[in-house]
Parts: sequence; C-alpha cells; structure tokens
Amino acid sequence: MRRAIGCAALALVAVMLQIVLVDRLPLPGGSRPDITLVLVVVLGLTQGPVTGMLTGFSGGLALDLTPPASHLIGEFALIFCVVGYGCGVLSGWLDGFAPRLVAALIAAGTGEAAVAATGMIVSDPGVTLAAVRHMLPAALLYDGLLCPVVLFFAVLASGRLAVRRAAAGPVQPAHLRFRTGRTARTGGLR
Amino acid sequence: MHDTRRTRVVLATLLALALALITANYLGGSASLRSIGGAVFGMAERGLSSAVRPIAGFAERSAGPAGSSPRVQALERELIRLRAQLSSEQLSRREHAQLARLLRLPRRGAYRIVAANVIGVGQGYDQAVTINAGSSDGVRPQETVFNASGLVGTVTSVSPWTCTVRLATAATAVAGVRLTGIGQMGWVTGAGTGSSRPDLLRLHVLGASTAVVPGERLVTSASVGGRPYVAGVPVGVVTRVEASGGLIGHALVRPYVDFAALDVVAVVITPERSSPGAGG
Repeated sequence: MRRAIGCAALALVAVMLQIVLVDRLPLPGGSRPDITLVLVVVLGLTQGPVTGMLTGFSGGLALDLTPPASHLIGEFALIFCVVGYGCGVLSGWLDGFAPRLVAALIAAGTGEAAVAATGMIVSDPGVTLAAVRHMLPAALLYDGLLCPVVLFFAVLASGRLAVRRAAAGPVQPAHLRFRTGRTARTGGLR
Repeated sequence: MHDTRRTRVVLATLLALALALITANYLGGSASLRSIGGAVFGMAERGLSSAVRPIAGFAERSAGPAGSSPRVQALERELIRLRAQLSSEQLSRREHAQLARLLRLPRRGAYRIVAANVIGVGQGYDQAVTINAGSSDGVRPQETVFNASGLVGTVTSVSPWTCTVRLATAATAVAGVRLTGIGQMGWVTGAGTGSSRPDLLRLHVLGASTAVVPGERLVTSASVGGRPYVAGVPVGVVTRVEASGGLIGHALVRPYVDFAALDVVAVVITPERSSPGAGG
C-alpha cells in the first residue's frame, strides 16, 4: 500500500511536469506526449492493479484540477483509473519486457482514444471529430516513443526495490515473495 | 482471493468518486472544487515553473528567434506597456469624446496593466494557458490578455496566484472586432485544433462582405466595462475572404500573436464599475 501511495504521488509530479514543461515543447504535429498516461500504464503493468488505479485516479484528478484545465472535473480521473486497473490486471498474465511493451503501447493508445471519445460524448466544444483526427496520430506516436523508455526505468526500479526488500526481508525467500506479494506479481521480471 | 476482493472494493470506490465529481460538474457544484484545486495546484505550478524556467526558455529559444533572456523580457514588458498606452490613446481619441458625451462619464484614467509570464499550457484539447498573476494582483475573470504583438485571449478563471487564459484560437472564443480601414464591426472566433489551419482565426461580418479585402487590419471593439475585451487591441490581418452569398461574410485572419511561443503577457485590469478610480 505504501508503494501504491508513492506511485500516486509520482503521478502528481508527472502532471506538474506535463503542464509546466512538456506541453510547452514546440513539437511538430500539434500534439505532445501524455507523460501522465504513460506513467499510469507502465506502473499498472509493473506494480499491479491497486497501484495502477490509485496512480491513474490521482494523476487524472490532478490533470482535471491543475489550471488551465477547463474540461469536466473527474473525466481524466475516471479514464486513467480504469486504464491503470486494466494494465494491473493484464500484468498478471504478462512476463518479460516485450509482452509488457506491447501491452503498454496498446493501453496508451486506448487511453488516448478514450480521452478523445469521452470529450466528444460530453460534447466538449474543443473536442470535435476534426480536432481528434488532427491531434490523435501525433499523440499516439509520441506516447509510443515514450513507453519503452519509461517501462525500462520502471522495470529497473521495481527490480531494485524487490531485491532490496528481499535482502532486508525476514524469512520469505525472494522468489516466493514475488509470487505471493500483496499485489500479485509485483516487481521483477521473469 | 482477499487481494482480488480488496482490489475490487478500491476500484468501485474510485469509480464512484470520479462519477460523483462528473455529476457535480453537471449540477454546477464544482466551482468551489475547481477554485481549491486551482489554488493548490496553481501554487505548485508557479513554484515549479520558476524552477524549470531555464529549460523551457532553452526549448523555446532553440525553436525560434524569440529569446527569454532577462533583457528581452524587460523590452517585451516595455513594449506591452507602450502598446497599452497607444491603444488607450486611440480609444480616447476616437471614442471617448463620443462616449463621454453620450453617457456623461467622468474621464477615467488609463487602464492599469499587470505583466505576467505563461507558466503552464493546457493538456490535450484544452486551448488555454496559465499565467502567474491572480486575484492577489487584482485580476478578475473576463479581463483582456494581450502581449507585445496583440490579442492573446481573455481570463476565464482566477485563483489567488494564477489565472487561466482562454486563447483567442480556442473553439469557444469569440471576440468583437472592428476593421480599421472601413470601420465595419464583426467578430472573430477561434478555429479550434480541428481545422486545417488551427493557427488562423475566422472573421464574421454582418452583410457587405464585399467591402472586406485581404490586408485589412482588425482591432478589438469596445465591450461594456472593458470586459471581456477592451477596445483597440490589435488582433490580426485578413488573409483570405471567403465567397458567400448569405447575410454573414466570412474571412480568415492571421493573428499577430504567435500562440505557439507565448511568454510575457499583460492583463488589463478594468476598474470596478461602482468605483471608477479603483483601478488607476
């Protein structure tokens, strides 16, 4: 649980960096990578469903509240929460870097599409079909480029954490700990 | 098994919370939540942006010729101040005499302006920016924001240390304008991110669209109490007139402002209507 809260706090940092730095980058294509979404997807895939959805909810809610957000409050919280949970559930069936990367790419794409679809459903005047057609391809591309990098570091970090825990932990051997941890299949690869 | 059940409980709680928030939006009960969020996250945003300012400045410098060195910023602020003076002069010369005669208004001082920096840009489809001036600087909703080049947008919501500015290019933005050459009135709307030219504005003129020619310049026209737009702020140049047989003529307008590289801006603080001297 402590790790889940730590991840949720990490999502707040990602939102701040997103608004202050990433969205100001003059990138071609009229779109910017959604680092919060990528973080939620990756943490869901490496840390399990509870961490995934807590990260998603807190990151999404921060995106809803941080000025200059003008869409519905709760919209991103809902979408990112579901995405984080989905990734957490998927993580139980995935092993190794490549399958997780594929899942991350699909999940990030689904998240971007869900944001666009929700905007259109609640008839946000800024989200029209033409706007989606213009923004979505570049957003997917940038998210796709970001996914492997973030996933690599998340795997590295969770591996480190798991090793340190196993070293400091009392009785249970490391490999058992991974399988029976509170968030099942948390941490290490393979 | 226990783990799965707990997971589901957490999921259900979070989803219910998110749906409750969305419902509160529709019922109109989210204003206080947004202002609290704006105050908390706005303050964090302001602090972080001053920390990452060199990085953001570098990214912008490498993208275009406009720099963000202290000297350039100081010059930009000066330019904005002079621009504000100029447009209020234009206003007073052209309209103030008539207005004063019509309304028997006492002559008010020039508008006060507050200079600020853009500290955050809207995520995804939001076409808005956050600037580091808020209600503690006297900023209120629906006040005009412009920069050294021209009209940027209008303030939509204010928190103590930051405020949100809806850009003139947003799909929901509408600004009344006057064509400087022929004096015709009209209004411009943002094209939104969806159009083929999201950086252009769209001009609408009632009737006589034949009189509009490319190269015509637009300035904002006066609104009641200077809100949401004060008069005389340069908006852009007509680039192409669209053929139309209807009552409303359309044209495309290239704005003077480069919305992709906003930095130093100014908010026009309009005086309270009840106390004319308050703003000066």
